[in-house]
Amino acid sequence: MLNVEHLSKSYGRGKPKKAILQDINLTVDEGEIVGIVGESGSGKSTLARLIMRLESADEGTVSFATADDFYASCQIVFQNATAAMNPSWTVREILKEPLRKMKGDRDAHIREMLEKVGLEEKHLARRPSELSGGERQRVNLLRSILVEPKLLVCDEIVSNLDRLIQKEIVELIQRLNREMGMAILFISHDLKVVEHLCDRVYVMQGGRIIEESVKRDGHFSFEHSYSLMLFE
Amino acid sequence: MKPRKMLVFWCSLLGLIVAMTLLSGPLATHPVNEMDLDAVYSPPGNGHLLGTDHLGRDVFSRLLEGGKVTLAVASLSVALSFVIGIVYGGISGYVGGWTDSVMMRILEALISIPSLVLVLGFQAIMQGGMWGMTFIIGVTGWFTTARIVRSEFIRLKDAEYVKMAKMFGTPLWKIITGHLLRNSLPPLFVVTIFNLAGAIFIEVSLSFLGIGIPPAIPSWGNMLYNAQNDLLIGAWWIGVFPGFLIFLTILSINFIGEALKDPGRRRFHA
Repeated sequence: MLNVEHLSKSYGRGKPKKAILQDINLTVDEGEIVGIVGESGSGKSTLARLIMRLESADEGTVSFATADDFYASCQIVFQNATAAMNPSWTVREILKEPLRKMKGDRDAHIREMLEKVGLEEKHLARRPSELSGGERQRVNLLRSILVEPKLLVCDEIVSNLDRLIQKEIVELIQRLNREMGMAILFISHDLKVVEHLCDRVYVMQGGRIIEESVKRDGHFSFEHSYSLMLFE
Repeated sequence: MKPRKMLVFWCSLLGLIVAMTLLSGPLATHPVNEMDLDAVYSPPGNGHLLGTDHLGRDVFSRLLEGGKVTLAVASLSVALSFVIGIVYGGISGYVGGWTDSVMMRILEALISIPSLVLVLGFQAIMQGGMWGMTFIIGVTGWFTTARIVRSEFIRLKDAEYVKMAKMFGTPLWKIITGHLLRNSLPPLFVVTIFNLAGAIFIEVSLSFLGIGIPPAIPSWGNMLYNAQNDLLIGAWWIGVFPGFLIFLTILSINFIGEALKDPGRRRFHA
């Protein structure tokens, strides 16, 4: 469904530019949960932005199977839920934004979807500053899945949350994947979460994908020394 | 006094002044231009609460009506400068690049000219009345607003919620009004408050110099202008009362602006 080929990106003026991503190749198939792990600064978030076409690549291509309306089929959830929501808007206004073109009762659709992410109707009248961290991330997640995308890119979405809320969000993602058949590209530096959630994982180091592993019998197996060090 | 109590006090005082000027019709004890030549230079009391001027006109009634004129000119001109500032600063900040550079250099050139000089230049060309004054103060008072809007738009246009809005296909007008402008309102509100004080001051200054509101229309500045010679003959009430009201109005607006500048008081942060 998502096919990234030979993707490269550099920043800075003049020469030499700082290479952030080099020759990235990855795929995500329908209904799959794929993880990308790596230390901070390995280029994970830049890759997410390039996949979402928020920035242009220097080289390589990002292709998506259903390309009619890219953002209706592919959505992202950012790490910082506070920064991803307009602080002046209520949750109702925030959730209505992606449904602008929807025909029918938008409020009813939002109420129905609220249950899926464990929120209540009382949250609709609140502003982001009046929500807890977990609630904020649920709203953030809900907004992106309201358009029922085929692929959801989750960029470090549980990094700022405590373990209990992390668990709730991870279970929620699993449920969405199961019930809606939504493919997930889960970017994280939290190896435990990735190991628990993902079917397949890419390991990134210094802007390159150094290894890919498929989960067998509930575990990933690695050969590269860096991956072994990360997952040991 | 605690900051909150201070804010309530200055808001109440300004509210009282505005309410009195708005209710000048029912509150005025005499028609504003009614002359009583048998009672020129009457001191306060004696049938005229704040005395009369050189033509026997009631100072209290003229003070209320003059306040309405001064505050109307100031408010409308600030509204005009608010709109111009938002459009200019918004385009500059949102488009960015060369457009921003050119627009900012023009703005810097305009800011380097003292606003009173600009106002005098316009007034010399237009020789306007009350509406002309409003227009002139409005078109020369938007510079700070434009700079604030530009800096806020530059800060907010790369915010993640704006990126999300673009991804959701939100129309540009909605992004500008709902995301950028709405979150720029707290600093804009503060600068507009200070602009209001500045606009009152300019109206009063020009009228005091005799080149503002036409003499037939009472305004606080006109009353001060007329009171210049009257002070020399001891008719202090003609100049003191409008002067005191101008002082209190500008002071309360400035204190309100200062109180609202405190970031802890702002309801939302972008």
